[in-house]
Amino acid sequence: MRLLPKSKRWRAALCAGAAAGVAVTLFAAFATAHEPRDANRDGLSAGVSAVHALPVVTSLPPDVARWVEQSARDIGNDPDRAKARVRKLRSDLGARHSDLYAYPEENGAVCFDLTSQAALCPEDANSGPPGIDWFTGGGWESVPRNVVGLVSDDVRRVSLRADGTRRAVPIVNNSIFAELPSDAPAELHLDFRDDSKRTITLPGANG
Amino acid sequence: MRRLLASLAAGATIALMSATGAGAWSQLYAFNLDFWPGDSRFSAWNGLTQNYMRWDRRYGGYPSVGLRYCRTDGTCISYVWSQSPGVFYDTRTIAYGQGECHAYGGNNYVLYVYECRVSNG
Repeated sequence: MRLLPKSKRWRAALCAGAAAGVAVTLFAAFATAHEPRDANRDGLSAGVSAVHALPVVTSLPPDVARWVEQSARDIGNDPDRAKARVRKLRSDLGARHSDLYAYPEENGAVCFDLTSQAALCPEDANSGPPGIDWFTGGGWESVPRNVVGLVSDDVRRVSLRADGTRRAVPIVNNSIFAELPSDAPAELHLDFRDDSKRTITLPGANG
Repeated sequence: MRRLLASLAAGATIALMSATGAGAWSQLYAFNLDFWPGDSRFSAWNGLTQNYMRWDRRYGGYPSVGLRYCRTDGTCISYVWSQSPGVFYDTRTIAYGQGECHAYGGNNYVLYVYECRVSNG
């Protein structure tokens, strides 16, 4: 029994096929090895499902309605359409008893407002640091400093390192909130579902 | 040279003020500037209910920006910080003070500021 064809043409075709197979295998291995880890994907591109899954707030407090109208105009969105997409992610946060509202922008980014403290409308879903859009609030009158953020669906765990101690920060409705123990800089540690990690530095109260 | 040009541009910045209905007031106090690490701009003095900054990270990295109010005695409240380009709002209030927009001194990259603005009412 002959395993190899006799003609040169057949042998050439067989060799070419084998070479192509090896090339495809090598390419697949290379592509897999260089696939971006979650911790290297900018912004919230993995999605923020709570902003779509939670019920729309039908009656907005006046200050929230004003912020939504203004911020929607600032980013070139229609204020009425923006108001029809607002979700309440958290209630009664920290010493200021703030609420956290959010609405999806037309381009897929998410605006969010920690009432009476600070708010953010990212320019798009991919421009912030990987896995999180965050800001600090508080730090005036008797309100301690705090950090609030939206995390993408591929973030499994968040912890806060401040004043030498590290503690877990619960993720609720794709959001985090924690009061900071001092004016010193702190760090957020993000663990992603693919086991990659990211550290975010929170500057101190005075820079 | 770039820093010098940025400073000159800042020096040439014209503060645009406007009074709208019901006594509301706003001031555009910085616009179209490169902010090097540690750079700041300050608004005029008034009672303020919002400080606002619109910026991007066209030069790369993940720089942070800060907003705060300062008082006439030279003291300031804490910065609020953000690292996501776009529009950032400080919605705390001050009875009388000036607004500041700022690039974190620990940034490794320059950032671009479209505008900083304060308002009340």
